[in-house]
Amino acid sequence: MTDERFKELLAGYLGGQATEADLAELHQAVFASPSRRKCLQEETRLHVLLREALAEEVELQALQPVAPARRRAPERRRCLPLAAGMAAAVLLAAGVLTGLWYWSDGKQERQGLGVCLDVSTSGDVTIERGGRTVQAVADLVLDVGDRVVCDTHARAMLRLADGSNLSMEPGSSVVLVSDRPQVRLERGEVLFEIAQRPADAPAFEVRTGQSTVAVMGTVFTVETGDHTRVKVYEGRVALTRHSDSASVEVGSLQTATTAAKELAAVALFVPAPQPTSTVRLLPTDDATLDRGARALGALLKVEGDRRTAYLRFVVPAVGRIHSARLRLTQAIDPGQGTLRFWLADHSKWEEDTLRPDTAPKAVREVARRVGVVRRNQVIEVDVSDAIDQPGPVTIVITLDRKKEHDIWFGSKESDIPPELILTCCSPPRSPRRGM
Amino acid sequence: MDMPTEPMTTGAGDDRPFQSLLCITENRCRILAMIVAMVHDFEVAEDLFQETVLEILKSESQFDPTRRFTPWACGIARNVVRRYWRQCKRAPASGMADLVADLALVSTEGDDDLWRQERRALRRCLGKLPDRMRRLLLLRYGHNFKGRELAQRAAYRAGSIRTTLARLRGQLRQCIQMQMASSAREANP
Repeated sequence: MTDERFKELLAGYLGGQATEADLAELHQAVFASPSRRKCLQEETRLHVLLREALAEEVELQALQPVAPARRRAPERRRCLPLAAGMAAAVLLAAGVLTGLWYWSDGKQERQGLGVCLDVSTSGDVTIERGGRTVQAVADLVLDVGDRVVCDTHARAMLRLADGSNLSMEPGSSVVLVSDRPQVRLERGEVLFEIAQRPADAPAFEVRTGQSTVAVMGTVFTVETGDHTRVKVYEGRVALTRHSDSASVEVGSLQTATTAAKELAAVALFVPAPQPTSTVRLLPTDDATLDRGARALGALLKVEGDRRTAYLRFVVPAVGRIHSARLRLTQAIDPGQGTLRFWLADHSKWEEDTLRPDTAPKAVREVARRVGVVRRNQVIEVDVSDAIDQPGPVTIVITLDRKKEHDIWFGSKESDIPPELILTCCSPPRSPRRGM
Repeated sequence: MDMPTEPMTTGAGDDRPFQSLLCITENRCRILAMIVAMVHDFEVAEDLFQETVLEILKSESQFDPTRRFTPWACGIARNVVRRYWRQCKRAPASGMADLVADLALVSTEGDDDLWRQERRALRRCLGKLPDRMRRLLLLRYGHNFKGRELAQRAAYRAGSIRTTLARLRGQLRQCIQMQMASSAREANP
């Protein structure tokens, strides 16, 4: 083989354009000649080092527009190699530390009583534990005795080990009293989605200053201040008032308050249609377009100027929809930035055939989430504005940040699929016949 | 990048994750080279590198610390690429996958110190390139454009882009060798 031919094969190999015959020829040449073996190594090293150096340069260029303008340009030019070096060092250190964080997070994985699933980016959510106060972050494992406090601008979502979810409203505070589980609501309002409990298991208890709510699996809110009010949307709970041990069962679409002289369940006051059930939908189709080509695999990936994720749901006729929340779970690659959720102009697409020319266009932003998405973090956004009638709907997800900030989520093929959670109301009653 | 010539040593066990991460960081280029040589796309390779890191950390208990880290890590990278091929139904034809993996493994061999020296020399050499050449490399390696799109963006004829890049790499290779020879003379006058 001539040197010219070898170089040609090598260029085709590095460019990914080598045919099977080329590969076999290259393989034979490399394994027959130590000098050609060395040549392959040199070329691959150069290939990878070029990528490293120039991808870093692209990153630095991308950062420049946000840097304040400087008047002393010559100095800036002199500093660029240093800046590049420092940036590389920072990236390397960040990579190690991030990796260590993920790793230690994984290694130290412990059940605890639950985990902080999501924390709103506005306001503060704190955890008081053993006399110390720490900032709540997603993924933080919660223990018995922890007090979770949302300030007046913050929300938090907790998932307990038994699968129950607690959505804490601004100004609320709960203490995880025991792993029974028992929760003390000190103030504010919390929506409880209690997982169905085995018949022989003790009831899930929510205690307030005035009462105890015992449940076996249902959806309800508890609000406490001077009095406690319970609103049940699904199932039933037992409310017991501490002052006189009076007890009442509060059923679906009923409410009760400890302020009443006689503890009783009454129909939930319905100024507007109220939620009666929760419907969880998986996407019928989901896909990622990566630079215009459909990305394969069981992940949805978003990245600025590169990857856009598409989710198609078919909303059933379930009566009036009170709210719609899109829930996504991070997988493998965490990241950060502004995630934007858009309503698309059509839903006439399928994941196997999605192409840029057939892909729906993002027409109206319906939700936005800013911040970091950590490993295994579940994020939830309100996309009610996108859901106004039964039928197919497509939500497009974009991210403004690039490169290492890209975020991956589980797709419907994964074991952590996206979910559209609809809180629905009963369909309006038909007028009675003969009236 | 510094490549360890010694096996990865670990302490009583508690520092193993940290040791692993250091080894991964030190050998990032080499593991990435293995993946790039198999999938021929930087962005896909970088995604698969992240999956490889997770696999390495998950399998760390199976690593024999008396052996060298890089071959073991490259073996995991090879498996991650094979899994990717299966998922994407893009596996090379029967028998070809082994050839590709063999060549990729050869790509990661070599003197450990070379990576570090060549990185330093390459940065100097890039600074000496004419703007048009540098722009072409930036589009190919920084932005990962290939083929016709690269030719359009860089304003080259599609038929000549591969040859131009090969020639450019050849020039850079010469420059790197001269830089390294010059550094060696300075170190040992």
